[in-house]
Amino acid sequence: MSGPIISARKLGRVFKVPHNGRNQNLHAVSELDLELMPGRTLGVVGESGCGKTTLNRMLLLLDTPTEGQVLFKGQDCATLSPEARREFRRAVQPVFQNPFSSLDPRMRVGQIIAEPLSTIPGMSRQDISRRVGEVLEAVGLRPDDARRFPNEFSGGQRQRIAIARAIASKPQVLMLDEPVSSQDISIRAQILNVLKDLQAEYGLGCVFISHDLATVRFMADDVIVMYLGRVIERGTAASICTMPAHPYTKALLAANLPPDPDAPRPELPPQGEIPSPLNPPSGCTYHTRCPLRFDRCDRERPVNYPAPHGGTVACHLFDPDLGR
Amino acid sequence: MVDTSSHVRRSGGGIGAIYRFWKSLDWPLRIALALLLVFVLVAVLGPWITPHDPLKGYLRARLLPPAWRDGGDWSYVFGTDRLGRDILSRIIAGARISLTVCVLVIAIAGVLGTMIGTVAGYFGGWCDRVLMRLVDLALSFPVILLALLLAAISGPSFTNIIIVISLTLWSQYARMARGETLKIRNEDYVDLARTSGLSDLAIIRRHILPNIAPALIVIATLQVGIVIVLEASLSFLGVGVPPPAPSWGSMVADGRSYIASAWWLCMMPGSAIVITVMAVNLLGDALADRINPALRGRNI
Amino acid sequence: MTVSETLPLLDIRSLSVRLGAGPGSPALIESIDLKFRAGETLGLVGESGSGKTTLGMALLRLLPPLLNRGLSGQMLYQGEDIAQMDQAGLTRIRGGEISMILQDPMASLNPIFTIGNQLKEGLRLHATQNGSLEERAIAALESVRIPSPKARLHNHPHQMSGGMRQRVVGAISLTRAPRLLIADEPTTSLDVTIQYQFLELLKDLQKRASMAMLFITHDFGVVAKMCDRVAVMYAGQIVEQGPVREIFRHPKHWYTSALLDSVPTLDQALDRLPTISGSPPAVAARPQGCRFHPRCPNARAKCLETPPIAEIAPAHDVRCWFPLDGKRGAA
Repeated sequence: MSGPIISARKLGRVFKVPHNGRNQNLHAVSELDLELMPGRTLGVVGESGCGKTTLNRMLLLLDTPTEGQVLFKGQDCATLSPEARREFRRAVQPVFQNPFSSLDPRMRVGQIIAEPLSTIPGMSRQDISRRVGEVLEAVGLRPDDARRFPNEFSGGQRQRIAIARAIASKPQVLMLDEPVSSQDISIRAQILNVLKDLQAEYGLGCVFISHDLATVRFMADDVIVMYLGRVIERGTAASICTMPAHPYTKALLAANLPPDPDAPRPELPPQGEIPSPLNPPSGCTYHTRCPLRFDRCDRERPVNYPAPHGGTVACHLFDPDLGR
Repeated sequence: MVDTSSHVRRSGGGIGAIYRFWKSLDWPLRIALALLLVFVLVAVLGPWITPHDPLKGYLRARLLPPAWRDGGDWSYVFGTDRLGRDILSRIIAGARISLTVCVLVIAIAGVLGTMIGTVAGYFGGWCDRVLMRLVDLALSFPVILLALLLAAISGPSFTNIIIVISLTLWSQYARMARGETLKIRNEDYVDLARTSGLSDLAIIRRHILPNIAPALIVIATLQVGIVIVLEASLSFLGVGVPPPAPSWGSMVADGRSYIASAWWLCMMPGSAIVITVMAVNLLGDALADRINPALRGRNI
Repeated sequence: MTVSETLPLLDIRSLSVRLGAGPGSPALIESIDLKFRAGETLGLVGESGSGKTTLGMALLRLLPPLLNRGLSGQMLYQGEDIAQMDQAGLTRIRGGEISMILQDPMASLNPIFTIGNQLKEGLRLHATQNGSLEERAIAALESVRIPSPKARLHNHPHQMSGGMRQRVVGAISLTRAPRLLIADEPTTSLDVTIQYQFLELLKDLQKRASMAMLFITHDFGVVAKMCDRVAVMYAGQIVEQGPVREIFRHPKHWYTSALLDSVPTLDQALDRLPTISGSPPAVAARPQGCRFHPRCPNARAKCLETPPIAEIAPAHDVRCWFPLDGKRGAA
């Protein structure tokens, strides 16, 4: 297949939240476009309030967009037939951040992993049992572990179980929402390697959501950077990390502290608070924190301009007509 | 093993399993369990083991004290009431009525309340609002009035008392079930079940109900006492189990006016109530711990 | 300068914390030796369960009763042993000499009082400066760079962002002008761009107040930015300590080296990350001998004996029978 497995078109989600006694609109995600090609990994980077979790939930059909659409192999997910929806459920599997919340404490590991298989018609008990053993081995656990309960495992092992469950139904896409940020450092590298091996072995497409650019660099082919619900820069992982265009991306890179006491001071260190998504700044939403802002930034929202690294960037500094 | 059968097999395998279960209990629990078994046995065998007819009194032998007191008679071990009826026989006969009311009420109120609370908590939104207003209604509705109303329409009966008490108590389950469901619904494994294509009904059955069960079991055990007392007050008002049939509650109520001169009228059925309630509560606590896998995993 | 060199501000000698008083009870931390000089920042790095938080709590004697009974060793603060101190002494130390910032700012702030209230409470106890309480509270907020401090005094904690709250906690700790600040993962709950700014602020404040700091973290990047010296903890012991450059350039312990290698970095695209096999042991399941040997690529028979911590280079101690030599990345 040549087209994207999952794509989003002008995707938006507005929540009504009570604020100061009346309902206010919270734009968690606005006008978001993305395409996930088979076998590619798309990194989504952003801090709290950037909408990455809402995006993840919409792409998993756990939340309904209020604007735009999510497409599965070109079909609008809002109008999928029950059959196509079942196919979607098998093809797209998530791994969440907290492995303590993602495993039902009352079920055995085997039952947990088998759950996505229970909706597949024509799988016998032996088939399921064999598949559970296979995926447990694929993530570096023993097939016997299927008999045990989640509370007998450490956090790292639990995350491996969650990954085993995600790949059990032979999905085409994994949606990974901060899968290592609750883990110890010596465990993070193990989990990342497992994920990378699985990507290669099964040709999985992945959406990898994280606040940490270095981890995204390791995992992803392409990256989108989000700020207050909007994509502000997109490009390949290498280009975003080596020649970022947007001042916010530069701030994110500067805030990534390398394990090196002699690292040079960044040219644009981050400043200012993240504004409340309930009351986003006018114009370019980053202008309140941007050291390079000029008079146009608080008046006009920047569109996506071509960036020097070949991607796009939503910043007036890259307007080709600037200074003309 | 992927299915649950291994688990079932482990816990239910004939006499050996029962023995292992017994060995795993500590002493207070064993006593509680033994007492409850005795009460249940008594309730079942009632008519065959009462020493006297629980309904027939001998006025010559009225208000006899328990056998070990001055003036007591060993053929009336716990003494007699104001009509000369044997208290032990009435407690035995009352066990059947009181325990049946308990079991039926808790089953009906539990199922009804859990269903409503779980649905309200899981689906939320308007469904939650409507169902919770229903709960508020049930909480604010005067029990006695409802009982009198029902009694006026169809006369006092065993069925009425079960309906009335169930209608009073289901709201507790509903509130607890809703609160616990709200907690569980936010766990990631519920979202994961949805992304695996499980239906809402399947999610409630597989994930929600097993995880909210411990809290509900604790409520059920706490309610045993409430049911007995409610049944007593309703019987006292003449809208419960119709006299002369004995229930523990109505016996206590009957003896109330003799509390100064003949304490045993209240004390004997009262003790039966206290012992039952305590035994059930002990068992409920232990059960709640046992189905909590965080504790269960330790001995594997 | 000469005084601080001769007498350390805080001298920890063979500090252990066990689960209860018996010598056989399992130890959360064991035989810790550490020295703080005035104005210096020491990074304490380790994974969860390594005992780094226990050590921080022990320094202020804030351990739960069971662990407090299992406390042994010495913590000499300017010659006075905190481990033997009575309640009055501890109150003096906690109130003025040593302050603490915890990971979750909400846990340190009372949600029902305004931050002005909570600041003034601290200021009232330390009536050293002149000026009204209000003015001093505003100055304290200004010192942690909170914009429009006057208005902020009337805010409740929940009305502020996480980064803002953590700065308020910092302001409250600093009203006491402590000589030593214990910061236990103070930025873990913050966003990265906010973390950066908080670290800058903390470094700046520390320089101005010339206080010593114990910075507890799991993040080597934070250590590199903040610390003069590092101590690496594994399974309750310090396995390596030394000057920050020395540790990052020439780690001698296999654990330190492997941990440093396993962190993904921005400037290199790798296919796989070097990993440490297994996971850190639970307190009750710590192995005999060298605690790291079951996960160590270089473990030998000798490693079943407990290695001593030994000075291998100037001011660089390591707890390993077969320490690494050479530069990192060369192996």
